[in-house]
Amino acid sequence: MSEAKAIVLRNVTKRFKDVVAVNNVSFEVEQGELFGLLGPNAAGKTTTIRMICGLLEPTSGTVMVYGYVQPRDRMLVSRMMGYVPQHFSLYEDLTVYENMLFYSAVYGVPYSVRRRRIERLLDRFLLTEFKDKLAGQLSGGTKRRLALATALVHNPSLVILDEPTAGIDPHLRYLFWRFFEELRDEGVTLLVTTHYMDEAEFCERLVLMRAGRVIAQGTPREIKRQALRGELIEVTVRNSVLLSEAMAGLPFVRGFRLLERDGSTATYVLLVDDAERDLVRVLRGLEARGIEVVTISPIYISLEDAFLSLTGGLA
Amino acid sequence: MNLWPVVAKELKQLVRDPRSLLMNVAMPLIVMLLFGAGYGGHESRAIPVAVANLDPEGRFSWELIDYIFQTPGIEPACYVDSEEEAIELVRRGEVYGAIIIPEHFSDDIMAGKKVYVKVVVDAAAPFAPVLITQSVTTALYYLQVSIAEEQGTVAIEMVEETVYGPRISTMESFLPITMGLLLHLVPMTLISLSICREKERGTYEQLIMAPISRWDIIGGKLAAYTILSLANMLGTLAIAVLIFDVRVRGPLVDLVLFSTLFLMCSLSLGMLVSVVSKNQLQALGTSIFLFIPSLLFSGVISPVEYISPAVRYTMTYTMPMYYFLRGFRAIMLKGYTLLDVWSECLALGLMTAIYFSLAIILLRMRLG
Repeated sequence: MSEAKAIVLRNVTKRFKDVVAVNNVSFEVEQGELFGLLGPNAAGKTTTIRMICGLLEPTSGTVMVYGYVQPRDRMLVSRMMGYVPQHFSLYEDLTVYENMLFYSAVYGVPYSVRRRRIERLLDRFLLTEFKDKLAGQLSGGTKRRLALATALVHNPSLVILDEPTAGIDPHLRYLFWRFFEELRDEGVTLLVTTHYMDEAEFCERLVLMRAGRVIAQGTPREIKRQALRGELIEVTVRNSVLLSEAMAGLPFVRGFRLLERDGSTATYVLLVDDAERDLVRVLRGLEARGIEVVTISPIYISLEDAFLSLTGGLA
Repeated sequence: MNLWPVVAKELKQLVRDPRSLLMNVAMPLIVMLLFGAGYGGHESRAIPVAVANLDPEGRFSWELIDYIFQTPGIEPACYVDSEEEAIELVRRGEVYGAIIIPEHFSDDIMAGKKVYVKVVVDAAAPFAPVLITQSVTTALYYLQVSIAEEQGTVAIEMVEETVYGPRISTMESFLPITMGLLLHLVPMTLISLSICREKERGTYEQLIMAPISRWDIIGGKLAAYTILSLANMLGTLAIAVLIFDVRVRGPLVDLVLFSTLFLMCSLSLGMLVSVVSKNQLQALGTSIFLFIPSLLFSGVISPVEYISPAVRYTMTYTMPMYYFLRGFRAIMLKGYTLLDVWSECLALGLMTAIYFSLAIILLRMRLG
């Protein structure tokens, strides 16, 4: 188990009658990673996650968790996994404490440590004051915290969260990602799905899904680079003749476009391989050609831009 | 095996849910109280009949009427002066039947002529025709014995004795049926919702993610529902015995054990329904649909020998209710013990095992 990858999906397809929800998906999650599964609604994220959890059987392909095949080895794997489904799935007619107690018992947490561990989790996720309230009476954000706390009662080494931040306020969203990073720092592997592209920047690596297929995977930066086939630099220069020729003459600029030109200045966008590295080279190259640079900066590309670009939504 | 968490959780939920409490605990108790109030006690109950005595001066006509109303079950509602009037009363539904004693009834008897008594009954009313003709026949028999004694001719007297008597009250003869309904329909319907509810509320997804086996889920739920229903069954039996004076001829412990076995059979069947149903509504419908044949063909309405062999062999003998009624009646009314009804116990135990195993086999530990 120590060397096995936390999660491996190999050519996984899931078909529901005539709908293909997940289409030939492959990716791997290393142990100790904060891994994101990103995509719009109906991209197949939940179906993928349920197959990883052993709740659905893939139509074809292999799903492995710590080297065990899902769903065949469900009973072996489930002790190592914590799962927070998209919708609140704890018992609304039990209290916060009773829910956590039930799951700690079902997961076989030794009787002697149950109480202490639950108290610690309640404290960590700011739930202590709700301890004896029925889960059904909690607000949406509190329910999310309870779901996360309950998923951790058996100290899982892999935690899977399906849209943990959908529909909650920005403050709590921020808090949640801090929790995830804390857990990651403690050595827990996390797989988080979201359709908020800005959140995905917190992930170390991610998979971008759309309509059941993986359209990109890697670190956030790799995905952006993949989307634009490079990175962008915006440069504003003093107006002079033969500007375009000068731009084209720079060897590391793979493409450029004039954004605007007014009386004294012109602004260009340049496509390069690596914006940070090439910034200085562009600056020197232009100055060597006697062109005065007014401002120069890398353009920040959001994952959203990258996603739209990859899916053809942005030219 | 990790049964206890599920049992504890289910019990908490059952006790906390007012609907399940009302249905599982309050309703059976109320039904038993109503039932006792309706059929319990020892005062006699009788249906009304009209009498037209067209031989008012004769001595035998009044003697006969005396004999008729000494039999239990019928009482004179009114005396009329003509046959037409009596029949009209029956037709209008004011009485269940009419007894008409013709003119010169006593004189004809004295003269040794053949006489008759006319009985008009409302055939549309259940039980009434049998009851009335039975009373009149009995009365006629007593009258004939009395005349025979007076005249010194031969009379053959009938001596009646009951087995398992001396007397079984209405309440006692209906109690097995009431217990059967309460221990079958109520627990079965209640538990048939349990798995569907988890699926509908989405809690099933989290539950089957845990390292929990089918056995834990089915067994745990079954144990919890058995505990709750058992408490309820004891309450219902206590009402019958303590308040309404029902006499249990056999050992009470055996009666309770036998009822528990039937209860577990009902719960297993309900669990099977829950496992195969898609949602709570479907489960509820299935439970009720399963219950109807139990009501019709298991000896609740008539002796099972009246049921056509085709239905009897396919349905009656495969229904837990049939075996429960037989066993319960035997222990309660005949004073049998659990050993005497071993075949009924075996049948119920076998069915419980089958339903339980099927529920475990058919429970899907996947979504969708």
